[in-house]
Order: sequence, then C-alpha cells, then structure tokens
Amino acid sequence: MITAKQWTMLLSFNRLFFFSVFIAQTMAQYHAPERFSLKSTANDSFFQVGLSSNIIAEIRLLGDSLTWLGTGQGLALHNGHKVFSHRTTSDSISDNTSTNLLPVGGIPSISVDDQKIAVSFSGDNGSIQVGYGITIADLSNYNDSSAINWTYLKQPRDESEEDTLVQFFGEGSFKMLPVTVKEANVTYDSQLLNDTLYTASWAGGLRRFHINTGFWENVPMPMDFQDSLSTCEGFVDDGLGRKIKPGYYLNPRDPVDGGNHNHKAFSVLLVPSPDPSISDTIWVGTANGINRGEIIRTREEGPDGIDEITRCIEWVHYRFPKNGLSGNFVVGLAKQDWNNRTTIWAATMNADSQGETRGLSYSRDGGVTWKSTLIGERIYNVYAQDSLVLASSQSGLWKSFDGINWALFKPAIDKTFLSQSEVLTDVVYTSVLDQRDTTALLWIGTSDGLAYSTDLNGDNWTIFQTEYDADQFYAYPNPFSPQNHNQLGNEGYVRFHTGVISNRLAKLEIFNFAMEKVYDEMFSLENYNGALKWNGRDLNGNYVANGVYFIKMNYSISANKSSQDYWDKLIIVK
Amino acid sequence: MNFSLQFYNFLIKMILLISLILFSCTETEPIYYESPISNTTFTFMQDQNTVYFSANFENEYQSEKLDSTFVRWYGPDISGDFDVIVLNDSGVNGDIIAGDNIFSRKIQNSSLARNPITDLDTSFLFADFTAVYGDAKFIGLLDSAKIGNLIPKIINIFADTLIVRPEGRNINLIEVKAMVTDGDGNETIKWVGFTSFSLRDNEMMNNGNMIYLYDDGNTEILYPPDFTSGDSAKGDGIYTFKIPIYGDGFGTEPLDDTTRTGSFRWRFSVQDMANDYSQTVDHVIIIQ
Repeated sequence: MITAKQWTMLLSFNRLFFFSVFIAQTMAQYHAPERFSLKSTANDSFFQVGLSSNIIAEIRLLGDSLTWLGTGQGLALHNGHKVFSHRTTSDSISDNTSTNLLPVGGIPSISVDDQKIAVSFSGDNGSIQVGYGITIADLSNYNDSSAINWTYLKQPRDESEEDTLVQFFGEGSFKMLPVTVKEANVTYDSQLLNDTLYTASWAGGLRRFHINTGFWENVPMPMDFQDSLSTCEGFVDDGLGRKIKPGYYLNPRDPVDGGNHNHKAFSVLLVPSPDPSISDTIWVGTANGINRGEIIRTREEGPDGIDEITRCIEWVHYRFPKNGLSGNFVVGLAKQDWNNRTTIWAATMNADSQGETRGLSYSRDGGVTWKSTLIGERIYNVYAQDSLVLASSQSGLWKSFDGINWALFKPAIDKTFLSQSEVLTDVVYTSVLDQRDTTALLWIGTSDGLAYSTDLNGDNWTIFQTEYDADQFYAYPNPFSPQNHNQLGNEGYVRFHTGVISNRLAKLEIFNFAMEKVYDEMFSLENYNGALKWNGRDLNGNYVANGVYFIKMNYSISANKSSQDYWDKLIIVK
Repeated sequence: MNFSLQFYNFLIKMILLISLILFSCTETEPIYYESPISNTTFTFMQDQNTVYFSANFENEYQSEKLDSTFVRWYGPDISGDFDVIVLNDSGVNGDIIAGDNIFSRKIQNSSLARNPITDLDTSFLFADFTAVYGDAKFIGLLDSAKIGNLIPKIINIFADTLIVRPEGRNINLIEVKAMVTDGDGNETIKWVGFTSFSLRDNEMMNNGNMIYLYDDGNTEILYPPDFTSGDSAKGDGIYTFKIPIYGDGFGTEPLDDTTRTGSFRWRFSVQDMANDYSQTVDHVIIIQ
C-alpha cells in the first residue's frame, strides 16, 4: 500500500526524472547528429552535407552563388543547390594562424565585403555567453574542391594587468578599463570594409582590426551622458607628454558600477560614402542608443609620399527619449536608399529606462530624429532593398514597401507534393533578398531551419532542416514540451519524421502508457501540406498529462509495399 | 357529472390554448455572426500624398464565398458622397503579401475624386470597409481615424536660376526665399533649409550640410560682425537667406572660398516640431 507521502515522493521523483531526461535530451539535441545518411561530397574533409543546427541566425550573400549561414552549431553554406556545414575542430587554434577547420561554436555574425568574409564564434560556459574568436578569409582564389584558408583571431581583448589603460586612437589617447576576458565578450555583429573589420562585441565594445597590418584598436564612443565625442580634437597634455581626452573613460561595466551602457556594442553598420568630399559613416547600436560616427580621412605624409589615412571619428550619440528611439538596446541596423531618401533602420528594445518599448526605429534625417513602427514587436534584424523593408521578429517576418504599413508572412511550408517540410516556429531571426539570379530568392533564418521562397509572397518555400536519419520514423523533439517547443501560432508541435511516404494517407495514433488512445489523425497527403505533427492535445483539445506516449504512424515507404505501422516512444513534459 | 366533464374539457382546452400562446411567444435565440472583417487600417502618407487602406476579410461568411472587397471613402462627412476604392489580395497596387487575406490598396490622394484629403481635414475621417459574399450579401465595417500631425509644405521657391560669379575678391549676396506653410500653424515649423549638389562634379557642397533660411524679419545677427538673413517680414511664412557668392580671387584650391561654377541642384525641405518633413522641392541653378 502506498501512502500519500510516498505518492508525493514518487511524483516528485517522477518530475525530477522527467526533468533530468528532458534537460539531457534537450541539450543533446543542440549538438550535431552523429550519423548522417547523406552522401559525402568531394570535399568532405572540410564540409559535410546538411545543416548541423536548425538555428539560423545569420545569412550573407557572397559572390555569384554562395550563401553563408551562421547556425547554432557552426558555419554553413548553400552553394546554389545544397547546404553544407563547415567542419570544426575542438583543438585550440593559435591567434593569427591559418586553419582549414573552424572553431566549435555558434555563429552570431558573418560579414562580407566583395570576396572577403569574417565569421565570429561563440558559446557559453553554463552561465554566460563567451566569445570564441573570429576567422577571416579571402575567397578570391577559392574553388570548391579545396579547403578555405581561414585566419583565426582570438576573441579581441586587452592584455593588461593594469586597472587603467591609456590607448591611442584618432588624434590622441584615452583612458579605458581593460577588458581581459572572453566572457560577456561575444562579437554579435561585425562589418568588413576594404582592409578594416569593425566588431561590436558586447562588453568587448567596438573595435576595429586592420587586416593588412594585423592590429586591433579599441574605438572609444561617447559615455552615456555625452551627446557627442570627438576623437579628432580636444585632447590635452597630461604632463607625461601624452595627449589625453580629458574627463573620458571607456568602461563597459553597468552604470551602477561606474560604467557605460553605451560602451557595450551590439550592432554596427558602415556606410561608405560614394562622394569623396564626404566622410564614410559608421553607425553603432549599443545598450544606450545609437552612435553615428563620421570617419574623418586625414592626409599624412608617409615614407612613400602622401598617404590618405583613415584615423579619427567624430561621434554623435542618439538615445531614448531625447531622440525618439523606441528603446535604447539596439540589436540590428540597416540602411535603405529609396526615392532619393536614406533611411537608417534600427531594431530597438527596451534597456533600463521607464517608457522604453520594443519596436523598429527609423531615421530619415541622418539620426537627428527617430520614429518608431512595429511597436511591441521583438525585432532581431532588419533588411532593406530599394522600397522593400523586411523585419525579422519573434512573431515572424514582416514586410513593408513604405515602412509604415506592414504585413506578416505566414510560416514557411513547402507545398511540394509529399514534401512534409514546414518551419515549426513563428520566430524568424534574419532575412535577405537574393537577387543574384533571374529568380529572386527570399531567404529566412529561423529557430527551426533555413528556407527560401522563390516569390516575395512566401508561396513557394524550400526548407532546409537537420535530419537525424533520412528514412527512420522518429518524433522530434523528444522529450516534447508543448508549451515550449516549436511554438507556432500559440501552439507547440512535435514533428514526426517518416522519410519518403509513397501512399496518400498517413494515419497517426497516439496511446498513453495504459495503451488507451488519446489522439488520432488522418493526414490525407493529396491535400495536406506541411509537417506530420501533433500539438500535445487529446481528442477533446486538452493537453495530455506528462508521461510516456506511444506513437503509431501507418504509411507505406514504397509503391511495392503495403502500409505498415511504425512506432516510437515520446515523452511529454509540459 | 356532465358539468364536471365539461369543466375538465374546458380546462384542458384552456391549458392547451395558454400553452400554445406561451410557447408561440417564446423568444428564439438570436444568432450572432462575428464580422468577417477585422483589423481595418487607414494610413495617409502625407509625404507621398498617398492613402493606404487594408483589412482582413474571411474567405467565407454564412456559407457564402467572398466575392469582392472595397472601401466606401467618405472623408470627413459620413452622410455625404463617397469614393469607392477596390481592394485586392494579389500583392499589387499596395497589397503587401498576396494571399494572406489582408486586402489592401494604396492610391494617390489626388485620385480620390469626391473626398481628397486636405489640410482642413483635422477631425475624424470615415471609411466603410465592405465585403460582398455570394451574389449580393454586403457586409460592412465602418472605421474612422484622424490624420494626426499635418506635415509642412513648400509652396514656392524664389531664387535665381542663373548667377554670375563676381570677379576678383568681390562677394555678391544672392537672396533665396522659400514660402512654406503648415496646417497645424506656421509656428510649428522648426526649420527651412536646402542642400546644394554639384551636378557637374556629382558632389555635395557644404560637406552635405543644410543651409538654413530664416523668417526673422532680418533682426537676428546670424554671423559676426553683423550678417543677417535678409528676411523682409517676421512670421509671414517666407523664409530667406542671402547666399554669399565669392569671386574668383579667393583661391583656386578645392578648399578655398571661391564659389564653384556649374549646375547645382538645391533641394529644399522643411521640418516641423513633430519632426515630420515636407516633400522636398528641387531648384536647379547655374553659376557662371
């Protein structure tokens, strides 16, 4: 006889057990599947066919046909036909050395300029995000039968034992708190322009790397209270023969610890000027608004005569509420040129001031004034091309032709007959319009895979997702939490992978541990588009209880074979 | 006995009659149908002088298929005449995504024949979003909205089109005027200005910065020792500035003061206190 206390203990144990299994399985699913049934490629020493993670955070176009993908588990590319994942090494790579294998980690940013590419890597130590460094390559001479020669740069930080550093930048020096760790120092955004790479690395701040000469510079930006900062003038002699910016201290700690949110950089946008009489412009999004910098070209006489050198930056600092941003936490930036008008778009979130909101902020006067749209939406990225603006968000992909009126794409479904491919999430992290071919492609990166549509209405999607086994029947994710996994239109879904189905009817039945049927559904594949999926609810529409469930799917894998039952076990943990 | 039977007979008839009356008077439950139209939107993009309408329409209503959608646009007078604007869900004519059940239309304000929006329309404006289901089932949803801030407008630019550069170290002051207005009151105008772009050299002048005009009645000293705008009357909505044209005796290097010759596009714009901009107006001048 089991007492009430024993029941309570047993239930607690069960909860603990399910929780442990759930966490273990969930974490395990973040790693690349160990077994692929896909065919290897000619260059499989450095690439393998398929994605190793369904999280696609970055999409960048390079050259005629390559589309580079920043995934939750490393770098991938689409070569115009297939997706390949770049192979990685868990071995330590020395700073500034050449490598054909990439570091392990997620890819928060990719930047390209002509044939150059820079990729940043990150992971976590269990409690906080960690920067794993950056790789740079020049693909001018690359062909797809050889390895790419990457140059690895360790996560940029300051080698110093001192409390305060004095660093040279522009026309003088400034004092700063050295950032010596790679924790909270993740390069979330970067931009290449000619031989310079700008990186926005959270507590690592804004830095620029001179590729040809191989050195890093810390780039000072205004302190939280400053409306502007000149790195071109206003320096005074400190008595030691150094020209120092008076009253300035670069410190990315929180304001309560004496630091500045504006020294935590999260997004960067470079706008080269086509007009030689006007400076290039750099936009940097931080946790305290947006900074617009004019990169002043100065002429100096070098050993070989007159050299034009890009050195100092004149900064102007815009923030909520003074300049009209919806929020001070700026995670994405984009530029739009259309109808003789330049618009700067910013994905803005609430930082720590009352009244800040999530949304999409934009300026049409060079940053002086900002307005907001899509208020309340969590925007991850913005993309603009001619009149088209795409905002990737937690609710999906928003599209506009005027920046005022928006429409939301429906989630991506591959409507090819018997395809069963569907993106089971509302979340879209990034989007790009690819106009390199005669048919323009609309690419999206989501938390459930990569997709492109051959039209701008999202009618014809092709979807790329990780695949544990091409032919096997299995449920994913497993364990499944209907209130947390694959959230699509306020429902969570578990996907049933079947491989090829040759008949027109797939019958799903779900039984509890007592083998009582809790749910069934017939998928008529003549008309049904999308994944074979279940939302964790019984036939009355109620969530089923936590526990183990038996999944039976009846279908035929070949025209020569009759339908048969395929079974899998599924753990439900709400 | 007979009386009792008759009484019972009468009683039964009465009960039946009363029951009949009572049941026949029972009120039937009304059937409420949810409107098949939702999320109506009306936006007036003043800088482009375009009007955008959109709404979500259900494909089916009371077993009838959606046939067509349109807006009856009344402007400020709900009892007056209306424009009919046909909506579409085909991804054209202002519709953003085809097939998403959001039917839209973006049209020029000037093409609203009966009720174009004017600066006088500061109160509510009315639009009746209508769907036709089946052959003739008309379902409407009335919406109203206000324009909000009216953007400033440039009415006219007064400036020469040909300027002759003086010789030597002489400076000529050329007067440039812009007549502007704002439906919310001219006092809401923040600034009036223009940028200058060299068409020959494909290059912005003045480092791309705005050259501002003033409506100060020539009373303010803008630059030392005593340079003023040249404006004739304060607060009349005509903004003025005297552009210095430097003669050829001020140097020949790119950064010298000598005014460059050639064709220039002056692009005028106005910003109001709500940070909204006017439509830009271009004026091309030639400096010889």
